[in-house]
Amino acid sequence: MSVHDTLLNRLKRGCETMAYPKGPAPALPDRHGGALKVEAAKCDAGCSACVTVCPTEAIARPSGKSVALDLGRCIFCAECVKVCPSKAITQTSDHRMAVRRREDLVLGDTGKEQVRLAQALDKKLRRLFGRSLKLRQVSAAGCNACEADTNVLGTIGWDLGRFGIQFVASPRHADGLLITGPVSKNMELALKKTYIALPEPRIVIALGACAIAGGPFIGHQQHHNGASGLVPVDLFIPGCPPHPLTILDGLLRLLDRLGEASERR
Amino acid sequence: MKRDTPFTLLTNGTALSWADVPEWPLAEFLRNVGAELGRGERLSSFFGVPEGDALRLVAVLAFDAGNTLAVGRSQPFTGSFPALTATHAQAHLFEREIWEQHGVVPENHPWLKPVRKDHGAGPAVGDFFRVDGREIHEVAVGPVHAGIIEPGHFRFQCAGEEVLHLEIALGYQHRGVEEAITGGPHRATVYQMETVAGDTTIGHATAYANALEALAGTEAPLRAQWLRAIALELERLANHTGDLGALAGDVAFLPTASACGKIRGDFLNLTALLCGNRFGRGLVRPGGCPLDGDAERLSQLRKRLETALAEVQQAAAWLWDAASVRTRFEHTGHLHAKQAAGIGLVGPAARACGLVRDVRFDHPTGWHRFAQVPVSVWPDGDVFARARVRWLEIQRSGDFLREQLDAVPEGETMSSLPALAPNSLAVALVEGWRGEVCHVALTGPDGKLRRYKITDPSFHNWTGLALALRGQAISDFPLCNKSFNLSYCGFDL
Amino acid sequence: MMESSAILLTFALWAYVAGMAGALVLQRAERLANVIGFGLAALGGVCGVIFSVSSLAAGRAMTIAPVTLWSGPIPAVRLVVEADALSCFFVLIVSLVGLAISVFSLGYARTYYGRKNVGVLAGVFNALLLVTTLVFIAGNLWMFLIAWELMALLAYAMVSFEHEDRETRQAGVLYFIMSHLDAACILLGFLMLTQAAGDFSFASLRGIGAKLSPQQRDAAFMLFVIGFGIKAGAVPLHIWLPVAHPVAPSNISALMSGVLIKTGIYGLARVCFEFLGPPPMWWGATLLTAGTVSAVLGVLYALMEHDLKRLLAYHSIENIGIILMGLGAALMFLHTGHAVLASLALIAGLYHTINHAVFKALLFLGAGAVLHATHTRNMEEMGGLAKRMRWTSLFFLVGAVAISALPPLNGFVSEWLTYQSLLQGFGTTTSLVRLMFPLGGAMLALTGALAAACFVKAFGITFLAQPRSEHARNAHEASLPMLVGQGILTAACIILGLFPTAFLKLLDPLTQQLTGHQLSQQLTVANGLVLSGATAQGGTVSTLGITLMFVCLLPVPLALWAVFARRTRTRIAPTWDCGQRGLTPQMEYTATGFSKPLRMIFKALFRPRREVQREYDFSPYFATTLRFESHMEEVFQSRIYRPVNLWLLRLSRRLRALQAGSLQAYLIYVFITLVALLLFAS
Repeated sequence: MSVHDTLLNRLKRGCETMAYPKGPAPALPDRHGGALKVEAAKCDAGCSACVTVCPTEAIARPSGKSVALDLGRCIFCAECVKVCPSKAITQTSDHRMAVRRREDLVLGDTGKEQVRLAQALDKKLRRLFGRSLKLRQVSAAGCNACEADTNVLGTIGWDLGRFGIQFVASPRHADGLLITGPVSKNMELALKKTYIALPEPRIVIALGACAIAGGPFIGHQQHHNGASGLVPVDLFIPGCPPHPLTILDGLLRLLDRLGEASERR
Repeated sequence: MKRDTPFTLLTNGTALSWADVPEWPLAEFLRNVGAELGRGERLSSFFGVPEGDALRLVAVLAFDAGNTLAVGRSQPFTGSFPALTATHAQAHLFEREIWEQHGVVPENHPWLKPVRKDHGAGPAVGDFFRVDGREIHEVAVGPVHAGIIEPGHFRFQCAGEEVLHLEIALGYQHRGVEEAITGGPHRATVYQMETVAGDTTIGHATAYANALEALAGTEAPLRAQWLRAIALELERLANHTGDLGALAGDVAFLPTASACGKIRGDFLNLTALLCGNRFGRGLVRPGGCPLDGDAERLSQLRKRLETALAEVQQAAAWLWDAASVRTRFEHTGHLHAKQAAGIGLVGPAARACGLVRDVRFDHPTGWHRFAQVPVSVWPDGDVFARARVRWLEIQRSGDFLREQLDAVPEGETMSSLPALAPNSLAVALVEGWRGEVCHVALTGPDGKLRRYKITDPSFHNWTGLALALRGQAISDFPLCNKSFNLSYCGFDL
Repeated sequence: MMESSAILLTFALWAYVAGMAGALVLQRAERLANVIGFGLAALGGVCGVIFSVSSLAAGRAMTIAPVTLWSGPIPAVRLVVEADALSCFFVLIVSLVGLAISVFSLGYARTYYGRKNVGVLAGVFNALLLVTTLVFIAGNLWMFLIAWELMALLAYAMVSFEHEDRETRQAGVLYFIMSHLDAACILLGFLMLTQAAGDFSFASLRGIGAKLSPQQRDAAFMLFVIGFGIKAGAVPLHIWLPVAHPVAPSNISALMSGVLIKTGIYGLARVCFEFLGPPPMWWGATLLTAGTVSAVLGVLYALMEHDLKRLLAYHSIENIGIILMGLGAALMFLHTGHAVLASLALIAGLYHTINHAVFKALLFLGAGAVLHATHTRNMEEMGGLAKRMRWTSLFFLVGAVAISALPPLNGFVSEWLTYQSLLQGFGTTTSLVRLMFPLGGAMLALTGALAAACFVKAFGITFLAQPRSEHARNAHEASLPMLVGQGILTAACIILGLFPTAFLKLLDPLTQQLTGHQLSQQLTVANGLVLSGATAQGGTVSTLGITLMFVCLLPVPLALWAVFARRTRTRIAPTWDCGQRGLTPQMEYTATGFSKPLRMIFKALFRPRREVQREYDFSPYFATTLRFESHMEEVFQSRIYRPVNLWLLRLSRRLRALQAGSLQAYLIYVFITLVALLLFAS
């Protein structure tokens, strides 16, 4: 293989980076489970089929109240969608799911059928991080799927670097922390030390169901059920694992780089 | 090939009654296991089953040459037991795990340290091993590593740039998977099985499904077994492509590194084409595969597969051509076949040392009873060999997929699972992309899972990395680590 | 005025005598002995400095004409002193360094209170300064040799000061043997010269080489090179240096490395430039080669050391090599008739002499302070001292920067001058010999780089990071006299570095005397701010300019810091450790680890041997203990000295046959000898 061959090959292939966000988002697999939509009004009276079938107990229907689905605990197995007799819970193909506040992930009440998407950071932080956000990733007992999907954002197809977002080796060089995994007790010290080592101002992103609420392992005493109890979280990205498009959407939304300022729900 | 053994023989993916598992007093049991290991057999799993206050040890041996598994158990005992590690090194981690989980002490164990648990923040390996000498300094790396990677601690003892000894301390990702299954299967169990090692979803889910189907005395429909085999090879393709790219990246060979990063995503998207999830979540369930592929979907899969395979062929060709890459890969991180066999290495790492061991070949189950993938072996035992084995496996998996997608079996893909037989033991082995995944399931009198033992291939292979680093320059560590590419969470459970 | 300078010198010498007497008399009163002994030595040093600087500034060739101190019964046996420019220069060296060390010793001697005899230490120290000064101002062979012998004996006494240690005793014996070897060679050489002159005075020896046959001159030259080479510590005659210097008390080590080895240089300068007459090419080439080899090997061995004082001792060998390169080049230029370049090379060599005296003494004093605080010479047990010994580490840093020849300090100036002379040497002759110049320059460059690496290691491992032992953790700063002593030398480094042009004026009478040429005018440009390389092809450099530039630019970052620092909050947090429990000193780099890549590159020279011992109970995969050791072969000892030793011992065993033990045999020997002598005399 010679330099000549590589150059020719590169020229032939052209630019392999996707146009998004300047162009449409890439096509997701047709069987991909996007965000869930909860229309509590459609629920049958007294029905709690979805509650019993959810593996992470993400759905609750206290008596007299409407059904509530916590998307932060959801691992997108879609069992509830399959079992619901009245199609109150449906799965959309919307990849956008990132939120700023934990309570925005709880669906079901009127006006909260779908996720209330993340607001951008405040002006000061946008000025600092808008064009250069360095993230330190900490895998606090993640299963490596969220990590793999974060890694893929660095490849030439997605090219996170064009937004100025980069994953760095030392927390001293980082502006924010990206946490995956339910934060096992054995990783608690390391996570805290990493957080302290970040210079201020700093942001924290919880990626994946495990980091938000413990994921499939919710309730085990070997871990802390997510990062919220240990560090203040600025962005929650649900999924198991979140599709790279969801992660990218979340990050860009945080930095207000998406260009569709009116897309708020 | 039949020969005399006191153990009961068992085929991969089948179950037998707990009472039929031969039982011996502790000393005799250990002697028998030792005798089999001495004959060159492998220890697939070795764990404890609590019986009230006492403990019973269970051993699952793999007789690769005889294409069969063997099981045996000890009578309940308390206190301590003579360690097998003293004579057979491949038992060392299993015995440490037994000590940690159940409190019984393996006597004369040469390296009795905790495996996962700790009494503080961060795994305590007690005092790390130290090399004596004025010039020795330690390099301590982790748990937070310099990339997007799982946590683990590496303690090097170095004389200048040379590594004299490497000690690996894991356990940072302990989530309590085995404990959670007890009394199950629960609602969340299958999802936990899929995320034991998130990049080996198909491997672990298939092993779990096979174990449960064996306990239920049934088999998944043939089309489901076919689909599972397809998904397993797709998973292998994606991860091996990613590994070649990562290895190229570590020696600063960017054409292959950047190309493979993208092609890996393409392979993952093929799995997503089948089930909607790039890692195969939701594709494999006990009883079959809930999602099927129609002809249209499968032909699309075939087409995209061809494109991806052609691209990875091109990217890998660059890699093998480059002299700079070969110089870095060859003679680095060397492991002898004898060492590999001694510590019970599995998977591509073992095959790269010249050992012919592959579960699809030695213990075929599911679709592998009908269609074979040739075993990819390379004799040298260095980084080059491990990369080369991955490349061979990519090619052979590609051929297998082409062959299978051209001959699609008919039928349903999902059947309902009957109740699990009580007081039964089932063993399921799957050749995941890192190596042998072993699930052992034991039901109680109520038909619920009383004990479930998961052995990820990384459980065998981390020791291999520690041995391969001896005498290497510490700057070659990332390369050696990537050439093994082991799972931290699969080890930590 | 001539009288006043003579008075100053006499006063200095009497101060040493008084110090010696006082310290020895007051042995029992330790504190008093300390103050009186070292105080008077300091006083003598001050007088010596004033004397020599004023003499050199006055620019006269002969400051003190030959004075007879004592006459013996035979007219030939007299003790004569004289002070010409060369003597004054070296008296400056001994006085300046002696002054600083004396002040340092006021504090350092306290470590010996109650343990050893401080009175003896102070007394012998004064005596050593006295006889060394006498060596430099000796006017005839008797004075020179007696002072030389006394210097060797007293130095031996000081090396063996802590004789409780077996290592120290052996070092002392080796030093003693080598000193006598060199005294023998020097004596033989001088005897050849004085035989031709008929008189023992140095005045009559000037230019005596013309009266000798070429073979005699060559033989004399070789004897002098070997003799003075042993004293100076040139390779391969150096084996005593790294053994003797570390075991002596640190102030003595400083004196030995700073001053005593310079007596060898003094001797070589004296005989080669004054006594032996016009040199053939191979003389200079020999010195240049010896210098190059010493420089490179010295620094390579220094790199492999983890004993701080041994490291500094090997660096002395390296710097002696650089000085010899200058002297050798000067001799070669004298042969080809380039007086200007000869003066330049000579100036470079002599400037480096005083520079090395100053910064080596500074480093040894610093090492002494560190040794006193941590009770170990082993760098692998130090660390973290920069926080605990701020001033000492600062002074050591200045010394390290100076010895690494980094601008704007003094080491840079003298090495720059050496480079200038070597690089301009290429055009001086058309024979192949001219290749030695650029080769020497290249080797000098290699040495400079390796020296810098070595001092990164020395400073880094000793002072930076965390303490590696309990002693290092509890280290405390040195006492005030020790700091002042180091401070004096630090100031000298800075002054010699920043104001070279002023100092060069002092060297004028020297070069006038030795090469017949005064060079300071040619070397000074732009009103003394810039140093030039003497000829059109030479370059220019201004250390003062560089310093002033730094000082002028400094406000820029300071201003930026003042503006921006106020907007940001500073938070002090622990070093990032990958999230583990904490870092331990075991995780710091070791000195040997630092130099390992170089040890691998120069494997052929070092011949490293490594040993890994693995012990295991049951399984070879799980070691119970693992031990690692590596050694280097001592090339010179094993390949040169040991074979010579063995041959000598074999010869002596054979000769023992002569010691028959019977009276008759001895009488026959006497008879045979008498007959032989009578025959020979007739």
